[in-house]
Amino acid sequence: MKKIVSLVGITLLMSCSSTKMSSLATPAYAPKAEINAIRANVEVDMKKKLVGESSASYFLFFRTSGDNKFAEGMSYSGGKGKFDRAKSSAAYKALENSNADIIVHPNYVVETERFLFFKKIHVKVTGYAGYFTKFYQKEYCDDCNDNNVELKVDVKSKKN
Amino acid sequence: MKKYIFIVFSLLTVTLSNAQEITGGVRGGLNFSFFTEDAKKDNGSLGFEVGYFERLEFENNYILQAEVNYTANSYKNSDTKTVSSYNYLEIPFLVKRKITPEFEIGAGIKYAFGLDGKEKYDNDNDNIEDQDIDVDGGFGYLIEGAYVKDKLMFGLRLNFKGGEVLNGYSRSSANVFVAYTIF
Repeated sequence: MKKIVSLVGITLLMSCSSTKMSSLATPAYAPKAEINAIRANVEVDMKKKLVGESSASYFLFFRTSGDNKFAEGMSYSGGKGKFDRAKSSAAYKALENSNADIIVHPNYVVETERFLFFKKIHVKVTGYAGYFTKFYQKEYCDDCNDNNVELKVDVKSKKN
Repeated sequence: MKKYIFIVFSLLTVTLSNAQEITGGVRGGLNFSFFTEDAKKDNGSLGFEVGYFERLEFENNYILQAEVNYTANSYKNSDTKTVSSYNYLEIPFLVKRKITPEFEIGAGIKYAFGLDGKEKYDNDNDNIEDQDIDVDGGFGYLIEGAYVKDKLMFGLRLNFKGGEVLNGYSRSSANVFVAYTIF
């Protein structure tokens, strides 16, 4: 058996070959397109309050129950993973059937029940209904600062 | 081991649904140990168990239950007149289903941690000699039927395997238990 193994080993070592060829390469500069910030006007309906609630339960590390629809692109303060998921789901429920585009000034109330084996998370979100009324984009100015003020001054032309 | 992990994942898949509530409390009961091997010589005897349980009820009538139990078992060998007693810390996970609002059946797996054991030998001169024995932990499985009324739960449970005692026999037992829901 040992003989066969050593024979196979020697054969494999002998049959290995590799080819290396050096070449020069110049990396090409490929700038990525940067899109100017898109700004939006939002009309806030202060009379319409959006409310959404979501619960999830966990058994050890496994998620055993909870909602399966989430609002993407939300940013939350504090909490990660399990909490973000529940918040996202609550936000989805708040926006669902409301016709609103965004939740303005969302307030999240997170309740957590911890047990030895199980954990239950309940999230309630409240906020105002926001509707986009206009989208606009500022034109890029090479020589402007962030406030769109021209920085470059043509000294010669000013002298004349 | 792989078999048990597969069973756990399968059971979890079955239960996925909206959860209603988490409850928990204390439980205790009597157990009677028995062995499938060498049954004529090794006679089981009465033991007890006490523990803590939690359960998560789902809207689809499934229940996920987890426990931590301290279990004391023993058996007597009629040939050698030796009584072997052994203690375990068991952690069972069960998936149960409500057949009626008050009756539920279930099955699950458990891991038993061997704590300690003792062997008592009664010699001809009526001197009882004690000797510590090793108890090994291991995986096992169980089936259960329970009757639930308000905060009380009564039931019968059959435990299979889950640790070995001195002679290497698989440890099995039948339990009657009562549980009380605290929260």
